[in-house]
Amino acid sequence: MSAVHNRSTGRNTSAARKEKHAIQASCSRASEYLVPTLFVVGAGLCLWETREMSQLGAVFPAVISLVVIVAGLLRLGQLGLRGVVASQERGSDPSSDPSSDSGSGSTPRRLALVGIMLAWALALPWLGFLLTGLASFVGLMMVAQYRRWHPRRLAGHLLTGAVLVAFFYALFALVLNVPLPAGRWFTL
Amino acid sequence: MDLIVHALGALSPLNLALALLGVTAGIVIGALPGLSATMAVAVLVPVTFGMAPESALIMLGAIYTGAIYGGSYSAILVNTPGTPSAIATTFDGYPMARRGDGDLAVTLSTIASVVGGLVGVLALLLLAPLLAQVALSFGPVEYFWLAIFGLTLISALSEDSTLKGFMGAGFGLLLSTVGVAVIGGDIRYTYGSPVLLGGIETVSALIGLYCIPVLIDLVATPAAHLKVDGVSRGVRFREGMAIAIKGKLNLLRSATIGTGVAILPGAGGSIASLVSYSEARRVADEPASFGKGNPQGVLATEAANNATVGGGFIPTLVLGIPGTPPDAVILGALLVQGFRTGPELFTTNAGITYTFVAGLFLATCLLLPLGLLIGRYAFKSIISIPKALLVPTIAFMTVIGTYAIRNSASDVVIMLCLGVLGWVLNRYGFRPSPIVLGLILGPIAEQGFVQGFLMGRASGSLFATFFGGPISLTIIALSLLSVFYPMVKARREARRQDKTINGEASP
Repeated sequence: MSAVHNRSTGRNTSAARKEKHAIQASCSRASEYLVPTLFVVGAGLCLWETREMSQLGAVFPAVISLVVIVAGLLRLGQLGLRGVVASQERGSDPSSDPSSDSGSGSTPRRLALVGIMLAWALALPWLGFLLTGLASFVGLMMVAQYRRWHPRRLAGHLLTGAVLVAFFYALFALVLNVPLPAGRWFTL
Repeated sequence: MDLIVHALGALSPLNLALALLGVTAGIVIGALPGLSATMAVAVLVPVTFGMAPESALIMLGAIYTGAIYGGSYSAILVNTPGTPSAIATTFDGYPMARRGDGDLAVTLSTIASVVGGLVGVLALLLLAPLLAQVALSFGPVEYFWLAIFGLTLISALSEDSTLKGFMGAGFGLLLSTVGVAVIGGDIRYTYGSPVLLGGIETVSALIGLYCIPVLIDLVATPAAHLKVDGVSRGVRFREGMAIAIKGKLNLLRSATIGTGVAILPGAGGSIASLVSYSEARRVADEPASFGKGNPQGVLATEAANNATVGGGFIPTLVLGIPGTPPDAVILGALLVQGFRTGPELFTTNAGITYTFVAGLFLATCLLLPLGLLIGRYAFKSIISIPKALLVPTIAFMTVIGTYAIRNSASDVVIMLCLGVLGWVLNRYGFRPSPIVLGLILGPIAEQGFVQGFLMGRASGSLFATFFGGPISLTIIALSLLSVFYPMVKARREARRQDKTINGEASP
């Protein structure tokens, strides 16, 4: 009876020890394995591409690709040996980690921000800096606003936005002589 | 005696006004993400051509000093280093700002920058010829190992996992190989796209990887960007001075490291601030508090990066080899003013040299009042601007800043893509710093590595070329120490804790 008890206690202790040394996942347990695998595959592709380069051009990316592959495989081995526990509740102390709110919050707003900025960058040579700048400023203002819009608040924000865009445009285009795109729109 | 005469000459009302103007312009340009110290100096150099030589030199020194310091504002307040040398300032500066101590972090960065700047200028004045000889003993292989040392430091500082840090650094190094090869001229990883031929611009990658994740998370919640206490606490100068006095050894050590690293051309402020940050963390009583808003982290990085201003001028003035890109621009302006590099630095050229050094000294001293004043205004602006205005303003600055570097809209798309990738990787525990450092140090590492490879192949011994020199071996030893020391220390502590727990449980 006591032998059985000792064996089960031993098993519990080793499980507890394994749990203690287990790696805490940054996001999900699966992603902890997936991301190093992607790094290994990506570096493998980079290594494969070095075949078409000259020896001088290939030596550095080949060595670095190998280092990434080794680091990725070591990480996978580490995860396999020590195990992974699911991520604990994040964001309890925002000061401890600048990225602590990554993941929580509104995904549509995140996507809207990226979408507006991408459209801005792509339209820049066509519509010019001033027009795209103003339009994107207003778009991002809408995305970042959580409180209800009142006519006064909206007018104030729009005015401030226009002044800020004009200030930066003047600083870069006039003072620093950066040739900002005027847009092909106007030259058609 | 000469120095005093020239320093007094530098104190004329006109020169003082020009120094004030230069420091202010430098701080403002340095604080804007995308506008680096190099750009600040390059844009304002032509303004100095029409001035009297001493006024021009004073203004140049002032712009440069202000720009290097200004990079810390955006690092602390929006987690985006204004200049690459402020990367390590984000580690503790931004967490401090998030918990409501942004004003204190800015004050600490100002104090540290003044101390670091003064140590760098003193070294330039007293040890220039001696230290310049050290720079000459560094060959391509040593530079390669130095770049690797910088990368091992940043990887070892990755709290989550050293291996993740290595993967991130490797990813950054691979990104640096995109475009035309530094040696050999191969076109690599462009996939037929002419946009990628010029490679990935470092500063736009830096803006993307640091700033875009902040913007993505800013819009996701209605919470305020930075925590603010109801009462205004001013610049918290006394509190800052008390912390600086407590960390005086840290300040002096970091400033010395900054000066030492800066004399190596190409290494620059980013490695200097990382080495000093890593040292500050290693010797600290509570190393775990670094990266979570420890004021000593801000002191270490800012003292080091401002010390590189004076330190970087040592090889520039003595050997004519610019330590950093802004040094190269300033060297050009100095040559226009009649300066000649070389051993005549403190003899025939003493007038120009002493005026320039006095100008740097003056600018560094002016940093204190100006930095505190502008810093307070910057902090107040960031906390009082509503989110609906803050987000588009930061986004506007990232887009215009990225575009201005090469006048390329494609760089803006690359910046955005890297930013989204950075946000995703950050979620999975991969920090942006190793990637950015890989990108910055990639060309230095590759050039050193390939040149070393050629030298080794020609001499018939690759191993001896890379592992033969005493400087190489020292740097390799330091790199290994930086990777394995934290692991050994953590294991030892875990074992000690186990023993304590077992000791408590056994009776």
